[in-house]
Amino acid sequence: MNLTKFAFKQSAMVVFALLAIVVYGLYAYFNCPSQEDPNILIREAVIYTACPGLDPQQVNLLVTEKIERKARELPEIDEIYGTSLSGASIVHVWLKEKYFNLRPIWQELRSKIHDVIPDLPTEAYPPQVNDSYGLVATAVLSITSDQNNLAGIEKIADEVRDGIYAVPNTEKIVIEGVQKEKIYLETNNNKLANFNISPFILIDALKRQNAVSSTGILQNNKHNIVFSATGNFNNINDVKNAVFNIPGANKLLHFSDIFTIKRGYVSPASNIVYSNQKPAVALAIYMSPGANILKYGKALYAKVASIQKNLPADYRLSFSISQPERVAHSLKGFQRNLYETVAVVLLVIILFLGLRTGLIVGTMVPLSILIAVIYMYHAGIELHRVSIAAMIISLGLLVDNGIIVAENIMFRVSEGMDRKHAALESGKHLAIPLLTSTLTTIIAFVPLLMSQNIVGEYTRALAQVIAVTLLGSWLLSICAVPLFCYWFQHATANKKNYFITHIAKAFHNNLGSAVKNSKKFMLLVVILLLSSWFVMGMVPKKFFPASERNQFLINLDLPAGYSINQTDNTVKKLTKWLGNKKVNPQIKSSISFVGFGGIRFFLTLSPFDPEPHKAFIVVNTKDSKDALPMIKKTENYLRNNFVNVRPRLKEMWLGTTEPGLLRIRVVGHDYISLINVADIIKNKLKHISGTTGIYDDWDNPVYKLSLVIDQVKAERAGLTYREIANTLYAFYKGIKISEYREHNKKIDIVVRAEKSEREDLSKLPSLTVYSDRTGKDVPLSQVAKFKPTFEYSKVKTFNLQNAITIYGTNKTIGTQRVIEQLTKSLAIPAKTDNYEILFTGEQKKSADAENELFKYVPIAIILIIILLILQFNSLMDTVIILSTIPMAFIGSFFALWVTQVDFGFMAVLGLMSLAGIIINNGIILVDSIKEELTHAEQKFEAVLYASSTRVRPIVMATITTILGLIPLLMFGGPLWRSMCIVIIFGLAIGSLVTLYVVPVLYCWVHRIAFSNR
Amino acid sequence: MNNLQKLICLILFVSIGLIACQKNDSKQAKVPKLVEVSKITDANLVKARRFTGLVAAAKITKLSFEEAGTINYFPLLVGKRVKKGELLGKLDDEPYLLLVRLREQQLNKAKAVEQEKEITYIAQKQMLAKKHISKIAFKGIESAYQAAQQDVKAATTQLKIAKRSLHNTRLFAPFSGVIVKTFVRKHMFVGAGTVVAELHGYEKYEVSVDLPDTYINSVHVGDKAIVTVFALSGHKPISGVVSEVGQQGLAGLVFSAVVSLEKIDAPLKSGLSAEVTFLKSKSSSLAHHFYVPLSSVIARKHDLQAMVFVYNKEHGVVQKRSVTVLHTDGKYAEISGLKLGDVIVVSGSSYLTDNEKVRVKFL
Repeated sequence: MNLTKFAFKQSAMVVFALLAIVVYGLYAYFNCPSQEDPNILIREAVIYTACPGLDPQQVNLLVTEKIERKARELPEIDEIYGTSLSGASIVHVWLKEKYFNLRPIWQELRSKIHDVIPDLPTEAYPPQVNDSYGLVATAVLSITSDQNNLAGIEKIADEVRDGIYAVPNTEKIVIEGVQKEKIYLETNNNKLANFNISPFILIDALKRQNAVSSTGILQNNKHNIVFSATGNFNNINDVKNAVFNIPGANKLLHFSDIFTIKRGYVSPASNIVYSNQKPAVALAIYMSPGANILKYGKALYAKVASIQKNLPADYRLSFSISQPERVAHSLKGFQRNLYETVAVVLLVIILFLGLRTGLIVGTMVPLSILIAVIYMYHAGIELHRVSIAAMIISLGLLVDNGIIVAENIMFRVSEGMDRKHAALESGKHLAIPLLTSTLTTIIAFVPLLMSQNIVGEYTRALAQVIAVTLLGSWLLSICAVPLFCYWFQHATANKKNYFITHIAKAFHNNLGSAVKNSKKFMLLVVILLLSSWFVMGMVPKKFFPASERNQFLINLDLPAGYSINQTDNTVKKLTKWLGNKKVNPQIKSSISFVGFGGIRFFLTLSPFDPEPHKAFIVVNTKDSKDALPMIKKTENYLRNNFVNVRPRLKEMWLGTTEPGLLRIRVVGHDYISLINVADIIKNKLKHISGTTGIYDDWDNPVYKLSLVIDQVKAERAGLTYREIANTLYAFYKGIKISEYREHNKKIDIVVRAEKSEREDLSKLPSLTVYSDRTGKDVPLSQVAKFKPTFEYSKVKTFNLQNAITIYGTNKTIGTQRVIEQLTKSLAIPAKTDNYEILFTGEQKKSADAENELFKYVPIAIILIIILLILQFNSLMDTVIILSTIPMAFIGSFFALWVTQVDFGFMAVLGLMSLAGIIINNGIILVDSIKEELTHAEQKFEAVLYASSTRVRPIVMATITTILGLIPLLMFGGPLWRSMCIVIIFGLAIGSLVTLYVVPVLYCWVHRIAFSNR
Repeated sequence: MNNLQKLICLILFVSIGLIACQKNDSKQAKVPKLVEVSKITDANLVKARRFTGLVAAAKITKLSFEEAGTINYFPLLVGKRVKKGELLGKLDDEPYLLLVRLREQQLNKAKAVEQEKEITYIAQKQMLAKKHISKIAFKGIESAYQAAQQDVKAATTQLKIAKRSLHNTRLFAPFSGVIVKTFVRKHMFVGAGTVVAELHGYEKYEVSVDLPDTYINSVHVGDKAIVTVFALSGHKPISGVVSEVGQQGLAGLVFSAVVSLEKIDAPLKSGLSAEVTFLKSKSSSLAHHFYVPLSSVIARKHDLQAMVFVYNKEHGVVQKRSVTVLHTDGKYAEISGLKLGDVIVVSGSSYLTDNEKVRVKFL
């Protein structure tokens, strides 16, 4: 069926369809859900098991290993990371990236983990499986109080949370930073020893007195009367006045006689949050998936503003992290890039094709995009970085179709054909070759559509949008362009552009000599090709570039073994400096998380597992340009003012992996080998230029005071190991003995030693332990010896083996090259019986992504070959066209090398789209030559002529694409830089080369000899 | 063609120039880490070792009546301070009074018999001289007289015993002290020797300490010591002298030592726990032990051997030095393996490597 003919017949319908596209497309554009980046499924769950009293080695053997083994039974699981700390086991499980429906898998994991409970030691609590670890907070709202009243904030936080739940599409709100209140009963060991009484007797006494009110109902014929027995504590004085009996002495004493009773916050604190410098409670707000974030953001802000009005004056609500704001800001940027590119493309087309033809072709550009938007609206693809990128990439491809058709019509008219006939003929002749070229381009993106991994998820929308845009553009070029050209085009429009005509003439002359010296010419091309591949080896590789967010991240690691108070002081000092407006006017705000990794507010930023010596700070700058200088300034400040801190400062990044991240894992069973290998690797890494922030995840060994209990003496003294352990735990850590209820809050009542005793290890030998058997207090030094030693504060495992992971960053030469240099310089084998070195990190992720991508490349190539054979019915012509693909990369590789812009995923996309454009040129060129040859006597002249007629549209489309991308290159930010460079320079050189290579090869293959005209 | 070439070249150069300008130079000069260091001086020397002990009075006695009886006077309460010779309690003395009277009567009777026997003896003696009676008969009279004499003596002793028992119904303080325990009440019947109260002398106290075998040879009789009693937070530490050093190890490889306290002006009580600091001289075996901040001691990663980083001023680098940790109180560690004059890293050690260049800040 001839679509052009049909369009001419149903011209009213065509106009209506175009109007409908405009109206509905605009509607869809303004109503399409939007977000910053595409959704990626985080296939990670965390299994947390508390097991107080066990040391890291015991936790590893008795808890972590058992959980890991059980989890391993699930075939969907890809990787398992275990961390065994003192008193806690944390296991992270990652599913293979090909699974998308996670719910049943997590359910299965839960039941597996449930099965392991009977095998765990008695100290262990039931493991908790958290499968919402991968959720990304839409916003983080901080609540602070001018009076720093944390208890007040906690109460307010509950109210604020209830208020925000009223905002439609709020899925979940998690409160972080609440410091639990406790009632502490503190005593000193001497007092207890003087009374010769076991602390556990006191605990029992207190428990008995704090009985929950029991109720009953008295029933008679008339009434039911409820009665209740009081007994539980209603205030702190009740606890103070509670009495106990000294066994054997028949004496009653008040608890306040033995204990200092006070109400306070849990100490040591955990999960501390600061908003700027103020202690805060943070509300992580999660929006329901699929909701429109911009609309949600507006509703959320309005709600928070109204809640703020009703709060007591000294409480402040502020958004420390706000995705809606970010999305609005970045979308504005993306859209500006899109508008600019569209505008430039239109301008260039008009410049080349004249006002009328230019407008005709130019109109197809926004129309094709609107078709894509309509598709997105219905296919559930949001407006985000990648879908908008797809539109921008397709701009360079879609103008081709329109230009070729319009130019062909102009050409035919200039050859004397009447306008209608010329339009119909062009449509008829070009429909199939253009469809072929469009489909080949679409197929080039098929690997993106098919790759079953996280990067595929990130970029899937790109392939879909490009496909729809190109198909739309083809349809418009075949139906609408000929019709419009017939209606509006001047017959003499083509004569206006002298520039292109000159180029065509010059090309015509040069092509002759290229064909004449075809061997030399091809040799030159091959040399160019080889040298471009050679220089490509020197291009730095970075999978995704850094983002231009007005944010940066600070990770502070104190040495393992440092208390949370020390970490807290460090954070306080740093945030005070950061918040000093005179010193750092660029800083807008900050939110700090002490002792835990905070909230996942960015898809690929996993919060670290809680550890008291670690902190994480998100700093918001006033402008995105301030982020990098502030990172350097902060690094300097930290370097000169903090001795015991290992800071890691990062810009935010784009895509799925942190740029420049080195992660080298040494796995094996013998941890000494692992430590030695890790040390060697760290030393080597230090000498690789640009590598910074090298550390391993086992941290430093921590000080440990081993209590060696002499069993014989303990037995003689009537003490058991459990009595000693319990007493020590109660003494230093405190044990919960009961709870006190206040409104809806439960406050634990905890017994422990008073501060001076708790914090002074020298008191340990004189600590007495009450023996139930003998009823006597026995000094600890009588039954135990104290041995100062060191041990690792954690055991890390990877897939059931001990593992040390070495981290580092290299942003100058790229991780790929660091790994190459490292493997070269390592004098040890990468795998022995004792250990194995695994290179993960950015380069692994990028290699995985590339492997997954390249897995489907053969399919794409076969499909392209089938299409080309169908089109040309010639194997040789197909080979000629395919041989143009490498030509596309010559310019790209040279340009990347000269500019030293990182080669990453966006550059790969650029190459793919470039290949599409260059193949298009080849197809049109070969098609044109073949058509010309059908009715030509002078074959060589026919090739020359046919090629020359294609110069105009090719050069026009090339220049249009190049100029269209220049604003994006200059103002579009780091994400686009490598892609723009690849396309601009690849296209400039590639188009030029293919214009010569295709006819030269054609003459060669088809044995068309050079003839002097 | 010239125009095209110019255009392409222009675009190429402009773009390359623009991009090149945007490229950041991310190379950074490496600045050595800043660490805090401290010089090992006399002040770091371990001049003292601290141990915990128990305060005990130097004189302790358990009081009891020597006689059995019902207590009819017992004014003692725990904590009562008493002076030497003070009456502490009385038993009902009536049985003892009666016994004394009985013994007196028995003595009188014996004396009467003795008188009678004496008269007979004198008379018979004269008769023997005149040979009116036989020698054998006289011997019998003489024996009867001697027996009567012995009876008087026995009765006298019995009386004395009875009087003493009477006296023993009163309990007097054997030395000045404080009553720490009472076991009886008035009107209770107590047997002889039953403990009725415990008296601790308050003038002299001593502290007994268990010392580990590694330290026992560093302590000698006569060494000075400082005793801090935990319960007496407002009072100054008390000075003392080592008065006894155990010569035989007790179970668990500990040796006992006793420190006698001097010039006590604090209300000490037996059973209070105390911290004893043995003051040492430089020549002692601890001369090479130093107290350093705990943060300066870290461990080698592969064998967990304790070490410190010693600053080499000449090269501006830090170097590992193995040390032995002997003791810690959570803030400071007592270590051996350093020498006077060493400059050690006290803060920032965890992130250093051997021979790493550092910037130092002296504390």
